[in-house]
Amino acid sequence: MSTIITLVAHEGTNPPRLRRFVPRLLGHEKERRKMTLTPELYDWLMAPVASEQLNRVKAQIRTHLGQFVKGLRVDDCRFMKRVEDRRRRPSDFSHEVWSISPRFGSPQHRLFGTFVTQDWFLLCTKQSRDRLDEHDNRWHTEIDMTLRVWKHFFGTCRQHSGTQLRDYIALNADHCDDRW
Amino acid sequence: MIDGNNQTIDVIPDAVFWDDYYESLHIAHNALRDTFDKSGLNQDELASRCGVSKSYVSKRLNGEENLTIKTLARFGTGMSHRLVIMYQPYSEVGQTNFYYPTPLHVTTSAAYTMSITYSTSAGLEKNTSPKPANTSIELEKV
Repeated sequence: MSTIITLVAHEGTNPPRLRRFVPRLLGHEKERRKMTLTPELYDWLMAPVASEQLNRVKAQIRTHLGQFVKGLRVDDCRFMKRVEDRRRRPSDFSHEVWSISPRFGSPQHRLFGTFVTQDWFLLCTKQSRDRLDEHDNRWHTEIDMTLRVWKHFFGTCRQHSGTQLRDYIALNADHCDDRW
Repeated sequence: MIDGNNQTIDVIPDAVFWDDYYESLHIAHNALRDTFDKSGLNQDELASRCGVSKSYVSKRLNGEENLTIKTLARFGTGMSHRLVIMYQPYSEVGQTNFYYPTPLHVTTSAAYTMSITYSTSAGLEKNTSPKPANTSIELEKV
């Protein structure tokens, strides 16, 4: 079964096993790319809390993900980038895990996931940047967790892969990562 | 919520305010990056012209720091562009998205969102939507 059919099936269960993130679309905005989240991540992102700082962080992340969904300009350095696995030499990217870096303000978070197909991203985990900065292994932990989430939902199916940015994002993406 | 005339007023949730705030920051950041890319300047040159460090410029171009109107205007001056700020009705949001053809989806909300662009003496760049009456603010030249 294709990964898309599997994904849509997960989104269609009651309660959903995966949740589609659709930002507030106004006027002429529409869902030009797709973003699916684990229910835990989705609930965390959408639920208001008492802490104003945390509400701001969540809004910061929601609007950043919204840029992706609305088809606005993204790049493979600052907006999102492939995660480097330094446990192997030379550094390995074949795991197909990407991190998304929400802009503006602190505390900074990184969101980890993988492409299900071109223009459709599955967001699996999040981690604070401070925690990730402690050691390379923190990044590797997120890679492994993302792959575990993928395996849980998609079994032995492979994630989407490509050799250049436009294999992942069809339109409106700036290539600036020289590690390809 | 009931106002002084006993009319019901919908209270906008905090989350909507925060989402719109960060949305406006993204719009400002995209406008800054687009204008910088077209300016032909590099970060060192923009920093020198604005009298700030390269790190200051880099952090803002990379979205690592919040943008203030003061910073946006200063960078605009450094790039020989005037910063123009206007409010846009929610119903027209996305109309100025120059990367995609305008879809047919139209809503009739009367609410407003904010749009930020840099302009040259030749007029507004990219923003081709009709300007809503009495909702634009143009900053004085720095």
